[in-house]
Amino acid sequence: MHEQTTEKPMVKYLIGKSVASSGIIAGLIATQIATVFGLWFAGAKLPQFDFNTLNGYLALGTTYGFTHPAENFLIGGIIHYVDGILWGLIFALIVHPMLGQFIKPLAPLTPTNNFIKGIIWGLALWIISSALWMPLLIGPLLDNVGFGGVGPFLTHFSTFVGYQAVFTNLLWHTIWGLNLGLMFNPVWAASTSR
Amino acid sequence: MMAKGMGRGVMITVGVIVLGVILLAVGAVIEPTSDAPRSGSGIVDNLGQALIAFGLTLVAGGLGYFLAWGLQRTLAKGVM
Repeated sequence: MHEQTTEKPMVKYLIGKSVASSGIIAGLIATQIATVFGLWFAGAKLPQFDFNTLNGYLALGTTYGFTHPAENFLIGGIIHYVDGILWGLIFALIVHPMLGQFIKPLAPLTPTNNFIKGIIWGLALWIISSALWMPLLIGPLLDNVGFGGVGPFLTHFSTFVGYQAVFTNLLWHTIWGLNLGLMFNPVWAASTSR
Repeated sequence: MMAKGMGRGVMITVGVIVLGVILLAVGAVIEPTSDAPRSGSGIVDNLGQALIAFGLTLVAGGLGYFLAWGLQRTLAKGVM
């Protein structure tokens, strides 16, 4: 555990030496774990969630993406991981302390409270993803190539996946949020000596 | 008081995990295998997959809470 010496009383983090570095590392770990699980979803009879490829289509277009799948996956993956790290940083700097202010039972810096805050942030991003990102950005791309678009709040994804998509997206963002909440774990330095 | 609250949290978490396992099992039973014939074409709504995904969400959330709770106990003992 690293101790931060500039703040009083002292807060220490499970990983990283400051709130920013801890949020960045936690965001990277959470994004890697959730992304890999999304690619494994097919093994649990679920639709595969490949955010790397979807981000590639968004950045490069479906025409290039379909003809250059490896490049599309790589470029989309870079964008996806940067997004995940930045969402983690926003959580660490803004959302985490804000939740402690507005929800009093979550104010104490404990691992369980930090975990619950991570889950809440994951659910918020699930809503943003299902209500905005998927239907408004990915939907038109799929519709243009004849795959049927994305329904409101992810009620269907293309012509192949129905309402189970929104629950699978919930699982993906829960995995991301719980890893973020476990890894970004500030506690008061004094709490370990009790 | 703190220990009582923590005990209640753990009991709720056990309940969430059990509910998740039940939903997961029901979903796995009613979900057709990937090579089974599907009726018609177009969007495939699938209750089995929805139950599997929601069940796994509850199980993952419950297990994550246990990890956080274990870390909290470890820190309280001053091991880390």
